[in-house]
Amino acid sequence: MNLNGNFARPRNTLPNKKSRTLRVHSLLVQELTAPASPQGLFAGEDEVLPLCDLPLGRSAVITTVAPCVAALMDLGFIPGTRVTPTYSGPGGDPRVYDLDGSPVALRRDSAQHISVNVHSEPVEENE
Amino acid sequence: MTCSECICASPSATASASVARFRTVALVGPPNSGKTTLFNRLTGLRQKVGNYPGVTVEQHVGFIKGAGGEDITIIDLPGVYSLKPRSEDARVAVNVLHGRMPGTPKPDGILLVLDATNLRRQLALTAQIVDLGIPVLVILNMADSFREHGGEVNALRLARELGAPVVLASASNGEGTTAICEFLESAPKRPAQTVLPVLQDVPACQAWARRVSESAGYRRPLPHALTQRLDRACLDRIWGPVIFVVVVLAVFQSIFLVGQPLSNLLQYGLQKLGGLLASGLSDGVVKSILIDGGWTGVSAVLIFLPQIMFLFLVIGILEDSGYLARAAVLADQTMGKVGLNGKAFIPLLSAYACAVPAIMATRTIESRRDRLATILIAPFMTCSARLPVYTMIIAAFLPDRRIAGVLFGWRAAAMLGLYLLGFAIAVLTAWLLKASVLKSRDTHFVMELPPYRWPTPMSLGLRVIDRAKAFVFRAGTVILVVSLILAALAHVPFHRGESAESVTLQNSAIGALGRLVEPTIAPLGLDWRIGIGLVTSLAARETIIGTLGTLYGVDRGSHNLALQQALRRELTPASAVALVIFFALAMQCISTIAVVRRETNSWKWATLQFVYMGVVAYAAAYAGYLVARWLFG
Repeated sequence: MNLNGNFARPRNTLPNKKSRTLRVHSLLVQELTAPASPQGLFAGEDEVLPLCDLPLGRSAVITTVAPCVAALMDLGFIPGTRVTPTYSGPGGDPRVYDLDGSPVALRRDSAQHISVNVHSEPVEENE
Repeated sequence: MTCSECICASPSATASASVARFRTVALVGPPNSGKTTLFNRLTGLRQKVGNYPGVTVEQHVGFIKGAGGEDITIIDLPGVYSLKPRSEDARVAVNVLHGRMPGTPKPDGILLVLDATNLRRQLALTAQIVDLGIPVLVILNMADSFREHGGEVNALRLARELGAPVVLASASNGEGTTAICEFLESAPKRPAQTVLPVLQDVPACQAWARRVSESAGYRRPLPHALTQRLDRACLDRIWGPVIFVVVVLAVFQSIFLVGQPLSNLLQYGLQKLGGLLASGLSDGVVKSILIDGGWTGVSAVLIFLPQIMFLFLVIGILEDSGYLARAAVLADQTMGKVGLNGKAFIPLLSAYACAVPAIMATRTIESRRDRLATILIAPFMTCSARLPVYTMIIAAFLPDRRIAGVLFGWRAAAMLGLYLLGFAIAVLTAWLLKASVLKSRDTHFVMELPPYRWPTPMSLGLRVIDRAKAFVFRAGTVILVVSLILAALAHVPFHRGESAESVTLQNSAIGALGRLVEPTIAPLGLDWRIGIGLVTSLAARETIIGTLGTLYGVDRGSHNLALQQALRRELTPASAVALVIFFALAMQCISTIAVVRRETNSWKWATLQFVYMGVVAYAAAYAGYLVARWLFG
């Protein structure tokens, strides 16, 4: 994130340069520049929320996966992984999430059982 | 740099397995890893499809020549993310690997196919597989795409870490195939004893996966720029649905533009051939049964083959290119509201060609209730077999004129209306089912979106052939048998004492059945002749055309116009409406009933479906009759 609080446009990099690659949809920038609260959307030190409530384009790290959706762990929804909602249809359900580089679509019913933290660091970075 | 034509084997000593050579090898791997493409490449046309006993999971088995010219059996197991049995597919895979599946020998070798792009995530599955102790070859598939996007891995070091040989391959362009065949022809060796994590401990597993990929020098490739650019359009809030609708319409158009003409050509050819065969046989009961029953039955199935194959080709292209996953996500937005799974979109689209392969395609839906709901509404989709009946009746009663000067014609509008009727009733039925009988607490819709790729023609072709075979054998055999039976019954005199020669359709057993049915369809203004037609159309919907042709005394050669005139004479417009609505909604296909019974493992749902569709069809036909009579008199 750069100084304006916007996500930087990614540059195409060679594999041996370590860089965060975040893909941003043009609509997402608009959503991010209109915060819901005076201090900004996530002012606290630790902001844990269900994955279904994470705004589009906002990246977070998975903290817990409820047992009822434990099957999702096999797909890669493991605590410590970075996840970012990227697309959403008109109805808002299902949404497409960028899971550590791969896109996966989930319904709200499943996403609500996964908790994410906006401010933690992932266990390993997508190089 | 690693050379993909050689296997990077673990240098540490590995124990020899108990068998001298591979006899049965299982292909395991996550979905979307290109496993089936590799299977197709290795086995080619030497494949067969079956069923595992007691479950509705397809069994794909193929053969490849091994060392010394002996065949090796290759089992393509369902795609699994882990060996923890979370779905029927995974349970089957686990059972086969442990040798617990009756009828399937325990594999003495495993080809583990992984997507090289996502190695870290798949290392848990790798650990589980290596842990089995069966000789295994770890195949990092899609190596071409992996390298192209900047991915790197040291296969030798990875092999050392895992204790099993590793090879980089690309099933789509054939890279690594020689190395794989080399493995299959060599003496089996068990994986070396390496330190594998306790698999239940997720953080420990993750740490192990991280350590292994680091020491193997694994570098993830960059995300596909093309995929992201295309997804920006295909998943866009507005453009996404627009592209979706355009694609679906294109699929339909292709069926009519390409499939229909080929179908007509085939029909003409089959009729001529039938005529030739008929002239070779002496007149009599046997000839009539063989030609009217057997040949007509066979033709009824073969005629639709072009449309069905073309539809499966188009769907296969969408599937392999990766677009279908996006379409399922878009479809889920609306289908989810009715209680259906977005993955049901593919089988329901296929049902517009034929419900039989469509119902078999529902196996990809994990939730049993969602799958059942999809199976139960699939026959409402206007299948190809209804079209000749629609065309006949619409042509007989509607003029070939445009509506008020607009591009649309009356006939096209009526056809579209019937399509929409089937669709609307399907949606309503789904909503009813999911709100009551098939209500499920947890909805599961998870869809991995693979990167966009060019389809592999070889694999695509084999899959189309596979599905076409399923249609011909599943639908065809049932239709043939029932057609023969009906044709035989048409020669059985209803009254004793009559000789077989003097039996006409009217006073045969079938005629009696038709007259039995008459009181029920009389309120719709339909008589016993239509009754007979409805009985025969149980075999295949379009046989009613031939039956009515015979009953109205229309010469076989000049079928169309004469039959249309006969229909106009015999039926009122209101009755025609009733008949066509009945055809739109009734379950008049023994093949479909047979497949539903097979896929649900019981007669209960098939019977319920038959009765439900019959009741709905009758009620809608009656309503249509009343409205039409009020409108047209």
